Amino acid sequence: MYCTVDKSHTSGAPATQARNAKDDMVDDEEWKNLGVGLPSGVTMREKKSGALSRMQKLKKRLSHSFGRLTVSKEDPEDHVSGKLPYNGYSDEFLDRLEPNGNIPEGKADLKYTDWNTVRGHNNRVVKRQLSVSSDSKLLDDDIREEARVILRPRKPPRPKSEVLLNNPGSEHRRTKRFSAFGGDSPFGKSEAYIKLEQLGEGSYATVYKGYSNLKNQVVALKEIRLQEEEGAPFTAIREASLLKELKHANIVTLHDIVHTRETLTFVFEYVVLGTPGEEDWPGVTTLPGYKPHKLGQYRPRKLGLYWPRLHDVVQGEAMATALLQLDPAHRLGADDAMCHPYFNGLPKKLLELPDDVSIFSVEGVHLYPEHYTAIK
Amino acid sequence: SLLEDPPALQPLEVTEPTAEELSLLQDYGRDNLDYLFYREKRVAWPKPDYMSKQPFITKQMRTILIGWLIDVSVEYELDEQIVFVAVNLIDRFLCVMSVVREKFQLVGAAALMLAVKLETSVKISPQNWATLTGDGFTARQMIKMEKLIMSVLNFDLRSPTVICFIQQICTKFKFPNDHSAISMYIV
Repeated sequence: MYCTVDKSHTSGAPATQARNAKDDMVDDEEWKNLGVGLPSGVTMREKKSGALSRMQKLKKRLSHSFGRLTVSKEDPEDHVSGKLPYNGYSDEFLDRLEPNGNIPEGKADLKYTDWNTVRGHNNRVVKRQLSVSSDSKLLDDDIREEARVILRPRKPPRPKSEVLLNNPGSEHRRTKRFSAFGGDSPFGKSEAYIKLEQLGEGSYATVYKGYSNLKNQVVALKEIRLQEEEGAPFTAIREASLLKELKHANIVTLHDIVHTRETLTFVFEYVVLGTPGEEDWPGVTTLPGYKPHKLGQYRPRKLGLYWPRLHDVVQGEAMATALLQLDPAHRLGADDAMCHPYFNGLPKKLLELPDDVSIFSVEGVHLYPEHYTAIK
Repeated sequence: SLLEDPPALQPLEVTEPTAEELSLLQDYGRDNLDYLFYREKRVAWPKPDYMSKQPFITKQMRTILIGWLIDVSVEYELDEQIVFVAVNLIDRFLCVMSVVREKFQLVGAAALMLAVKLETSVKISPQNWATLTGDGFTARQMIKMEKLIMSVLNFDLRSPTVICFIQQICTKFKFPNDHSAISMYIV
């Protein structure tokens, strides 16, 4: 008991000082907001105090109000929940504002309204002391630690499916439903990715080539450095939430997000046609920006490795590869493309169609609009 | 399904969209509305009765918290859209996680911070947010909670709100301004 009282005095005083300091800070801001157009010092002062009290009203700890609710409504319920063990922290979880004999209901109300009276001040110190014990414990712990202590995922984590790892085709849909947080989800963990060499650097992020142990494929890791005092930058938050929604063949796919204390890493699909060389791009070495030591040497890979859906279509990969050749001599022309086995399924009539007749005049040919259902 | 938030929200002040916004809405109206309906189906909406499974907090506390969020947003002259986004984040977060009473405001403040980052270019530092909670929490706790919300929601942070629908529908059918003002007020 003595111990906690001491704690309250040591921790309570600086806390109130800090509060005053912050009030002053806001004070200054309000001054600035008021601008220079005010005529006399008197009105300025009045306005200032009005703004100040408004700010002060805003700056409140809702646990007061929550506490009052508890007093009036939840007493029996809380009694029950207090007995239930929540990760073994049942006592820690109880609201310290509960009337357990220390703070009668009337006083709690009084403290809330008479913020500046001596009695209110004392009570606030008492309250502070009580909540400090739970706050300080969490301050130095890691986020998962905090999550385990204060919060507890209500649902048991969804069963980790072994199928997931062996079935890359259906993965997109499944990763959506997985929460990266907690549970057994293999996603969202930095151990799953091996960082290889650096590919490039921007103003707020660095991109590395990486290897995913989950999918056994090369990925691009975009590592965003987090600023200690700002949290995640809004650009990164927007990028992540937008890319989460966008699944389209022409938009680079965001596979996973790894959020650690210092960095936020986006795992992208690694799009590669290989580093161009003299044999597939004659004259590339003489271009001013061509610096092999910076670009790195990558061998071109089969397209089907990056776009597995190409395998689903008969001759899809062969067709796409033939069309994506840089050298026109090796590239598939339009006429040859029509004769490619890829189009074997089409009605033969199409090939003999005169130039001025629409292909939609042929029976069985329709244009399907790309709709949102097409975006997985 | 939009109105699944359990307790009623307090009415907000109404601002008219600017001429620029209107022309944008008209040009892309059809696509936008389609996309909103599409997103509405995709987003995991909070279950209406999730509060009954929360062991430590109640609907009344949620009402108080939202009232506070609105006060803060009015003070900082934030768009009303932001409060809706923040409330959506809170509800979805609470569907998955149990929160102790003492940390409920932290969740609310962090959700509002996230919503501000998502929707506007207004810069309010975590330190400022921490101050707004009456110094109940530290800036570090704010950042941690922000991170937790993001990972729990799996970075699916953007969900269409009632405001989006009102703006789109009112522009599409060329409702006069007082109609949209009234519908905003009803919401």
